[in-house]
Amino acid sequence: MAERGELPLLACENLRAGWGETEVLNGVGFDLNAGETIAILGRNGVGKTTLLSTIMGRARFRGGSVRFDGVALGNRSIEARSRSGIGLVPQEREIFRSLTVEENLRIAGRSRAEGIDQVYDLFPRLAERRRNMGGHLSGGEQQMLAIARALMAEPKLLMLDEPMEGLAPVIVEMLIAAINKIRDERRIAILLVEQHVSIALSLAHRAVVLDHGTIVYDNGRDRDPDHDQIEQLIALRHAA
Amino acid sequence: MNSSLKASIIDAHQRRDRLHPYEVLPWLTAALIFFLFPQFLNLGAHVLVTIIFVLSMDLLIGYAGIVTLGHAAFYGAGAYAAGILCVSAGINEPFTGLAVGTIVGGVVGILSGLMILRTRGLALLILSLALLLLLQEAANQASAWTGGADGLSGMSMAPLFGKYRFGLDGKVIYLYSLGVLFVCWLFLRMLLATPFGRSVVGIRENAVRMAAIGANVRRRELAIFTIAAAMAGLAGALAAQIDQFVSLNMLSFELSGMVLVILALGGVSRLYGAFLGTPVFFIAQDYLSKDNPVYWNFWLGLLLVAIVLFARGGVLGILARGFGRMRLQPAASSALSQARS
Repeated sequence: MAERGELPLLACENLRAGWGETEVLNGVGFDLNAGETIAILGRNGVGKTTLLSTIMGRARFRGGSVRFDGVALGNRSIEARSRSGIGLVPQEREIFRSLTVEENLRIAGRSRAEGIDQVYDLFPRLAERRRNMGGHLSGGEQQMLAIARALMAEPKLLMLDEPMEGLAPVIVEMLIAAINKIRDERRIAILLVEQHVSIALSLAHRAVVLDHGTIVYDNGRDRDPDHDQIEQLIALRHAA
Repeated sequence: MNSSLKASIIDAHQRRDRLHPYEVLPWLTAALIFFLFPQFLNLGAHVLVTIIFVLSMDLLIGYAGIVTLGHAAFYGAGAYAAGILCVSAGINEPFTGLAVGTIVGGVVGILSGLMILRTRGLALLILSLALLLLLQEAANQASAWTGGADGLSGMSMAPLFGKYRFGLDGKVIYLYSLGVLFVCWLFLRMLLATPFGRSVVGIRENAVRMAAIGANVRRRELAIFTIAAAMAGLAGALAAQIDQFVSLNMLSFELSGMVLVILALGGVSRLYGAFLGTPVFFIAQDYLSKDNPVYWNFWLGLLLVAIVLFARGGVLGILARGFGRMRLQPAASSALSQARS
């Protein structure tokens, strides 16, 4: 949690963005401190992935502002955002299928080799599979690799887009433990997009519910997220 | 992480970069040809030069995923650079000519890459082709330097290492070409094993993802484009030296097309595709043109269609699948016998 007077790591104000001519986000605003986790919840198509893509520079920015580490991102390139400390683990994982696990990690490393040791400590399964091609991994292993690869770039903010989707419960538990460890030991801020409220709330200090490109719920920093209210909100919005 | 796991990781990495036994085969074959078929050494030298050219194309298309039709521009630039250096400047030392051809190929590559790599797909194809046509016409117009349509003749190379003359028996040019090819192959092998080399493959697979992990995609593409252009320039300079002649054909679309065909025949993004595709192409060209001097291209086209449709990965793909089956069969039978027992 940030000290009083300290700037938030990420601050979005009245953010408008979308794809092509379509505007998906209509005035989203929130901020995130170092070491904090926010879960972005909502049904399909409400703009959760677009929000992460806008912060990463993949979606079309149309208005408002995004400040990271005190600097306005504006029209900065994807590469510049990554180098400033933003890491994205996309929903599709986007593993380099024709590279080995180790090569997937090495090409993402900023400088030294100890980064690989650290991610292998976090995901020992990847160490066992280090010589296997990315395309030959199971879904859970691919997700571990996608997170490990993002960590190799030493991010200050890690954005995870539905990391538990389609995974077996045992793998989900393993990933939850790893994500908690990343946040607690490295003080990395996490922005987590998740469909399952219970999984999201097991990881997040705060929950934000999106609907039609705007925030309809944010428990803030002083209150605990209300599981039932969030479930109800998502279900009601879904029914409507 | 415990020390044994660390050690095994380092060991695995080192094993991956070690030479495999099959990698000796091309060099063994080249040595056998030198001793057993001395009458083919001149042709062999041309095959070796073409392999270098195809390797440079494979680096671009196979590894970086940059499909171009104008790769002969760099080959021709290197050839003319080595030729002009020899004829007009009187510098006929072979390695100096190679160095100049490589640098000129690389400079043309970096300058054109700055423009061409801003585009993708069809636009990139057209721009690369336009560059080739521009250089060809420039070479045609600058006849005082290049000999224009008549070609640049009068090259006379100094002996290699000041000792070995480029004789008619082809021995020196064969060994010279083989040595240059070996250096190029070794360089590519090492380059592709580096994080930079693997990141180029990553760019081919997903450029946006590479940018999202902080890689400067444009700069890396330009770097690999320049390296490929420099290597093509080197091949062109070597071709000019062993032929002691440079013609406008070295800046032709046909030559770019031929290299693409050889790559498709041998196998793209396999490094050794060039080593198989080039001899197959030369042998097919020789055999088919003897059989039918007018329509031999038809049969070559048919062979290419068959390879592309039914043998993806080219000749090397066929071999890899064949060896894969051979390796799998004993394993499968042993698993079966274990299951039975």
